[in-house]
Parts: sequence; structure tokens; C-alpha cells
Amino acid sequence: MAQTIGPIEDRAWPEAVAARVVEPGARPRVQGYDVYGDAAKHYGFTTLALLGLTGELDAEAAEMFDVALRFASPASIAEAPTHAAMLARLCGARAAGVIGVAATGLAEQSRRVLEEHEPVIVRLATGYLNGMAARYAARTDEERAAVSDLRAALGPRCARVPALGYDLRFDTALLAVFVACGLRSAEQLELALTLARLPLACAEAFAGPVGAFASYPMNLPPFSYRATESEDA
Amino acid sequence: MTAKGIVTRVGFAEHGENHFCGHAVRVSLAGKAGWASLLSLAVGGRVLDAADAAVLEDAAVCTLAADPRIWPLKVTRLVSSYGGTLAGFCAGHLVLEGAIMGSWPTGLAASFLVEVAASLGDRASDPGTISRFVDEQLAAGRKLPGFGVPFRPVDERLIALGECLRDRGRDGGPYWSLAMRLDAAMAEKKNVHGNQSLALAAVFLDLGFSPAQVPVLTTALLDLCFYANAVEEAELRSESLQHLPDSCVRYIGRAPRTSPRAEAKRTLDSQSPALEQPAFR
Repeated sequence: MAQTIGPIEDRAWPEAVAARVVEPGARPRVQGYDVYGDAAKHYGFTTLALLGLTGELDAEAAEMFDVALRFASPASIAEAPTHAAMLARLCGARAAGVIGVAATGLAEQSRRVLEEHEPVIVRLATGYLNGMAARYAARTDEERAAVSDLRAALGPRCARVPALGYDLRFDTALLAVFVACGLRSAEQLELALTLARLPLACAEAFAGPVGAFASYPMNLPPFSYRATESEDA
Repeated sequence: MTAKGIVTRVGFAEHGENHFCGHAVRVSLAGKAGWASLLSLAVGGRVLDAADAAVLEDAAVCTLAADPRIWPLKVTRLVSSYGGTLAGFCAGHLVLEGAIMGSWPTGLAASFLVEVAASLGDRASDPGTISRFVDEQLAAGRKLPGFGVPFRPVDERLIALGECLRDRGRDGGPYWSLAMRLDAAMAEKKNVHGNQSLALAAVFLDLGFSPAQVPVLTTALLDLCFYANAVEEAELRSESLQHLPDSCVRYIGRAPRTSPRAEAKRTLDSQSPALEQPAFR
């Protein structure tokens, strides 16, 4: 059939796609800064990532962002995204498939974290958790120690994260730092968590064997099949 | 500490047989159940009879809007342009969950139809009651789920599905009838028609599915559109999708500026010209 006219042809459309953060070309710019001649020469990767998200170059915020990314980074095989990526590797998936599985899983994991924290994000920015502190309090001494390590790593920059004065859960504390870095929206915060965890999730997966199916605990966790009365009906 | 077990109704691999959602595949399903019925079994937990399965098949056919320029399908084309069929297929599907277009709004439309039916009861069959109900909703500023057809007056997919249902004598279902009465009222009051979401929601509800199952079923029906685009694009590997020419991108972001560190270095260099020499960099 020859091309005919449809509703898409009936309408006038823009002739170009809009770019809002990265200006493409031989000399790309991010939020107005020449990447090769300026931003990439004078700043680190995390600063550029934060610049892209917030639109501002804030060296101190970038240092805090880097600390929080490092603390968020261990995505172990016990967690579903890394477990799934390792299975993709075991099945002989291409690297792109392994990375895609890890990224999708991490993004879903991050979405879940943000859903849990939706009511408190604004309060993390102000540092007043009025009535919510108990809900987001550290659940174990190990978690409390991890938050203490985070505070120590931030050093004097802790003053920019007033919510860290509370006895927070570890994920809540990480979000408090991200918020203090200028990240506010769920999409920015979900990306920060995903970005932090993708390298180590993939590293764990890539370190695993391809095709060694017998080495993988296939019945972990154990599944039990419950047939309904329609079985063999 | 051991990992907590999971009870599944989906499947079990037995010696010599596989079990699927309560049915032994070789003994109970092979040669007997068709794809539409198995889709129902997978999503809704029950096998469809031939007449209901035919309606589901009709719905699958009528949703075949596979123009690669349609946004989620374009996502599939973009990702598959590097040669990966399933990567593009999956990327297109990642768009759908929770999105404002595609399969997910069918769930909202289904919930709306259930809400209207519950709210009006037997009066839902009266066009006058429906008309007043629509007036009230519009006066309250509510945007009715399942209505609005972008870039064209009516949704050809709803029309096609309606014709199929009529041909099969299946256009009298309570939810389809309710949807058509709502459509008539909205057309009269706002010159806005129902779209595919409304149609599929009504059909699936009449088949006995729940609102939560409706978007998943719809996604499965849309699979064909995604497969066709992913397969073609993985073969084509279109350069124009992999990278748009610069002239096709319009930058509307921040104006060029210089970073504080670059500014400081420039100032330092200007005060000590020798530092500009490569040996000092």
C-alpha cells in the first residue's frame, strides 16, 4: 500500500526536537558550560551529573553528592537488582542486557524507596521532621552506625544537612544528603540512587560465571506451587 | 536464617509435564487452549470459552495501531536501532506502566466504569440519568477517564471493536452499553468521544476481568505493535534514529557561560603569562 494521509500528516509539527540540558555538537555544553574546554577540565563526574540535574555548579554540594553516592553504592547480590543482573549474566546475556536488567531493577528499587519517603522529602529539606521522625528512625544499631559513618564522611558539610541531626534510617539519611545537594523531585532522587548503585551491581554480575547453572541455588528463595481446583479439570 | 518461601500459582516444572496456572500443559491445555484463552488464564486465572476468547482476539486485532511515530513505539524504534530486538521491545514496555497513554489509562477507564455502575445501579441504563451524571462530573471539573481522542474526531479502534462486538452479538454487555451511553453524553455535551481505553475497559469488564487486570491485558494486546517495530528496526538499524542530524535539534537551555574555576584560571593566567606555557600546565 502506498503512503496515504493520516492524522499525523494532517497536523503541523515542530521540525526539531528540543534540547534543554545538553547542547549537542562537536563542542557539547551542559547547562551552558563547555564540557571539553571547561566543565570536564575543572570538575569531576559527580559535579557534572549534579550540574545536569540542578542547573548549578556547586562544588561543596558536589562533594556531598559524591559522599552520598559512595555510601549508596554497595548493591549486593542479596538485593534483587544485582541478583537479577547476575542471573542475566548466568544465562549468557549480552553485556547490554545485563546492564539493562541491573538499571531497570535499580530504578524500580529506587522508585520503591522514594514512594516510602514521599511524605518526608520536603521535611528533609527543611530539617524538621515534625511528627515523622519515628517513622524514619534507624531500625538497627548497624544502620545507626552506618549513618554515623556517613556523618563522619561529610565532616563539617553535615551542617548543610540539618535532617542528619535526627536518628535516621540509612536510606532516609542518604536522601537527606541528596536533598541538601539540591535534588528535590522524585525523578532526581531516584536517578541519584540508581546512578550510585549501577556500577557495583554490574560489577558483581560481570564477576559471575556464564552458563554455570548448577552452581546457582535455583530454589532460593523456595517457591511452592499451589494448583487450584481447576488442575487437570 | 532461611529465606521465606513464596507460594506461586503460576507454574511448576514436573518430570514429563509442566503446570501452568492450575493446568497440566500437556494433558489439559495442549491442542485445546488458544492464545487468547491462555492470556486470560495468565492474567485473570481462568480459561475462556471459545466465544469469549474470540472477543479477546477481536480486541487484539482492533488495537493494531503500529505507526512507528506513535510515542511508545518510537521508543522501541530508537532503542532497537542498534540492532537489539528485545531491548527495544522492553524499552517500549517500560514506557507504559503508570503512563498517561498506552495501556495504563485503560485501568483508570475500567475503574471509572465500575464506579459509575456502582454509583448509579439500575439507573445506569437510563440515558437521562447518564446525561445528568456527566453534567455533574463536568461541573465538578472532573476529566473523565477514557475520553478524548488526540488529533482526530473519533478513535477508529473503538469503532472497529464496536463493529466486531455487534457482528458477534456481544455489544449488549453491561459495561459496553454503559460506555456507549457515556460516549453519547460526552459527545453531546463536549463534542468529545471515548477512546480505545474506554472501549477495552468495557470489553474486559464484560469478560469478567477486574480493573487492575485491564491494563496488563491491554499491554499484552499491544505487544504485536511493539514486536513488529522492534523486529523491523533491529534489521534496519536506522542511522537517522541512532543519531539525529544537528539541524534536527533545537537547544533551548541555558546560554553559554564560564565556570568559576575556568574564570579563576583565566585570571591567574592573565596575571602570570608564563603559566600559560604548556610546560606549566
